[in-house]
Amino acid sequence: MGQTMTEKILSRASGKTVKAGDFGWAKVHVVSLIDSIHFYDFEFFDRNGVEVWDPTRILFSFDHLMYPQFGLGVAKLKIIRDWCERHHVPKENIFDIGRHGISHQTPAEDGWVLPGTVYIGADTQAATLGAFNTFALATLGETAYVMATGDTWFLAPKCVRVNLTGELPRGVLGKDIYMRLMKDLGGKLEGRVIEFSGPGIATMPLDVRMAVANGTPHIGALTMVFPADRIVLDYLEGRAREPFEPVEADADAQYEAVYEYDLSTFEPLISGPDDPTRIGPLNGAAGTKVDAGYIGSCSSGRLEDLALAAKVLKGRKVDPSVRLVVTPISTEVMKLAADAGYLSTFLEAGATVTSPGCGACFYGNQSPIHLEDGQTCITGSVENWPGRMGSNKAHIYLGNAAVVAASAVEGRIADPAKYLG
Amino acid sequence: MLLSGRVWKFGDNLRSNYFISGKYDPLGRAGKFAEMATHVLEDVDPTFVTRVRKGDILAVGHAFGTGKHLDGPVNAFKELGISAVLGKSFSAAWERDSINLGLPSLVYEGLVEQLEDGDTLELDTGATVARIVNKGVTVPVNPVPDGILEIVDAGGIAEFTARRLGIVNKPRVAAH
Repeated sequence: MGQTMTEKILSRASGKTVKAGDFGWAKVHVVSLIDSIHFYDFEFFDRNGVEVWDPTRILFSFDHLMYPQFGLGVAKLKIIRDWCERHHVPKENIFDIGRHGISHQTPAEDGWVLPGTVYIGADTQAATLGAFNTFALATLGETAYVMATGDTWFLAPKCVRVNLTGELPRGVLGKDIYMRLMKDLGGKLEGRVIEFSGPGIATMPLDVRMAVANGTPHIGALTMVFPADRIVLDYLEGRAREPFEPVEADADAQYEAVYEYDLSTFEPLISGPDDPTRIGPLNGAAGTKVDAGYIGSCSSGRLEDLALAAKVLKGRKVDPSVRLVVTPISTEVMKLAADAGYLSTFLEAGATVTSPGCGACFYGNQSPIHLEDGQTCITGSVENWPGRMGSNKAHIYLGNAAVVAASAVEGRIADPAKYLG
Repeated sequence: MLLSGRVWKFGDNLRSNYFISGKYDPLGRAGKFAEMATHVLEDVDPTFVTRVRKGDILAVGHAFGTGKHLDGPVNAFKELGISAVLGKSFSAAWERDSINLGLPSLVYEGLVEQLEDGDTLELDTGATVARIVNKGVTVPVNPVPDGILEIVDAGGIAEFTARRLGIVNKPRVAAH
């Protein structure tokens, strides 16, 4: 009987034929950790004299950074560096300040994310890496134990297939796609893996696919898997650290349901305020005055997001009543954005650009976004529940990077179409 | 694993903050699960915490447990003695966290459909029938894979891993 991509990856990783509903243990390819070490049992190893299964496959990204109330604070990052030395994790596996970025991005840039493998991330949005044809799992509090054994348990989930046709319209990004799926298919996707198929995928840049998969926790799915097409293979050319073998769904693979979507029918959506499940068309929120705009986080800090925002902002100015902050997702993306002139465009327009990482998405952090009581923000970042970007008496709307840029120019939530030409 | 207790029946699409408001997240982060447990369902049924008994079972509908919760609600349920959450489907993060913390959240779609609030359920998770004792009815079910039960029986993934490694997991110094 035919297998889904999920069943194939889990079969390979567990050494047995897996179908939906089966329990097993999957060997993992890499574990990507963050600098917020307090939400899993980081001390497990030293306390018990246990070693990591393969220290060369452990990565740390310094991405949440600098917020001592929730984590280490910069001065204490040494705790992680010392731990890595004690446990033989190579120095190059730490995406330290100067080569830092979000834990869901840096492993891909550094060739650790390989089609056909099981990818583990400690942080909530790890499913992002399903864009690379991996089975990408967020292990949160379980992460230390995965690091000890080099495998993780699975109860093979049911898969649904989303078949994409048509062409992705200009100005529509990954956020709009996952929000539409969430709105249309709420109640039907929780606990499932979403696998993508169809000719429409080829019209989606890799950054867009990652942003779609990034929406997994909001949807309540387990993860998402994309096929490894030419775009994925080109990205991996010269980067992949090891040989790899992509998986393709069999023609007779068993899906619980198949949903057909024409990408050309997608449009920018808005979520909120203050509730990620409240999703509606852009014109429903258009005209709402904003005090702040944010482009960044693992949902909107990629090159594709910055490129589109730069297109909107080129030759224009941010409204004086709005502060617009941009945080590239990683040092590599920041360099590419600088080379392409996007950073100059942002600065010329009156926006500011901050150091790569989770930035304002993580409780407002030390970003100049930090929302005060009664302020309204339109953001491309992940979360919009109260308090996420500063005051819990501020209001947060989610929208794609082009919508944020257009809103910053007009001083209110606005449609970017007129600025995209 | 043998489950035996009063069933508390709930509907579909319940986010984790239906059971405990997000305002108690700081208690969860501080590891104050006993205190957090006193607030379970307080906005919906304030008598719940006084009436729930050790061994009781939650029966929930589709898409249970969406939304951000960290491990607070799971631990609060354990504090109250809830032995299992049986559901038609779960948010993936809820299902995984729950099993990892030693609280079985298990899919039993057909059984949940038949259960009513106040029923007394007897369920051997390895078996192919469940008994709704007060109605004298048996319901066919699919057995839960042994691997899940082993993790839950050990008390969660930390304890299970310690056994695998042949160590005793010394207690953590800091809570959260």
